[in-house]
Amino acid sequence: MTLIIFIILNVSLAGYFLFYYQKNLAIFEIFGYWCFAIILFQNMSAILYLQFELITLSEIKSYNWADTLNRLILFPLLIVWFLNLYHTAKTTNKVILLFIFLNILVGMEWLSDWVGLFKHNNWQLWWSYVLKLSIISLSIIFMSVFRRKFYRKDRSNEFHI
Amino acid sequence: MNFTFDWNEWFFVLSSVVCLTIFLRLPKRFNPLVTFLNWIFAVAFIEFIDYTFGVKPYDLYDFLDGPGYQPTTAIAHFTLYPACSYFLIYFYDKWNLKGMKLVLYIIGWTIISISYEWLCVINNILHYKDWNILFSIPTYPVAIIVTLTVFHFIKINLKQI
Repeated sequence: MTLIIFIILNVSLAGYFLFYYQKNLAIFEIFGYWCFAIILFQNMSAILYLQFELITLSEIKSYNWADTLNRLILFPLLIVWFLNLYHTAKTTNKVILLFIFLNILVGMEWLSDWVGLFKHNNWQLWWSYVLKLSIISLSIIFMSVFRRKFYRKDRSNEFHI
Repeated sequence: MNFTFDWNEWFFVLSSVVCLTIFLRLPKRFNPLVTFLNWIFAVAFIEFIDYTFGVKPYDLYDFLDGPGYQPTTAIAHFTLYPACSYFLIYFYDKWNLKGMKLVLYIIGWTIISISYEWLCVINNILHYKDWNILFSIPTYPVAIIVTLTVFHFIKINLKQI
């Protein structure tokens, strides 16, 4: 049941964002930022679990798949959604966006713990904020480097594949 | 961290260096954005596989010195696998493979991948737990088809700029 709920949540949010939501990013940007966010979340989870044992993943396969889905879809989607709004926002709104999405990401992490997808071991709440803020910051840096390196060049030079 | 730098790490690092060297020496065929997006997808894809099936509850195999997070494995995730993914799409595009030629190409890459996996097993890079090399035979064609599909997705969307 838990897995089904998370499948519905992941698929519906992703579907809404990809097919209905008015986006400010090109599709290949979304793809690049999504993959980058997957890499960040996968490595963070692997280091915390395998190396420091600060989280314990559920050994129930359906819960494990729900957590995997979140790392592949939900969390990267929230990052991409944030970037979509962030790069066109004014400075004050950027701060507000950062605050909102930071709390959503931390909230989703602790919801996953509460539901049992994984368990925090000797964890401090502020660590969640630091880690999620790091991921958001790295994603912002990635986006600005990506756009500077590729996007404008493609627009002006009209690359053909 | 259960990490000692001995022959198995050297083998993995040398494999990565060889693949990166070949990548850098191949004549440039694609728009840098195509190369970059395929590279980053390959990293995300291999990390999804290894951090889902290489850890509990599946725990089908371990890399290098044990179940902990191995920096050398992370290096291979970012270099060796994406480079091989690049070779896959490079020659696929260069030879414009379709139909039976494409099938033979996929079979060829499956043989190469299985052979390298076997080399990893005998060099103590890969340790099977509940896995067998025969199980890898159907998984590589799936991974190859996914990689080629993503390559086409990127090409199609870049043409629409």
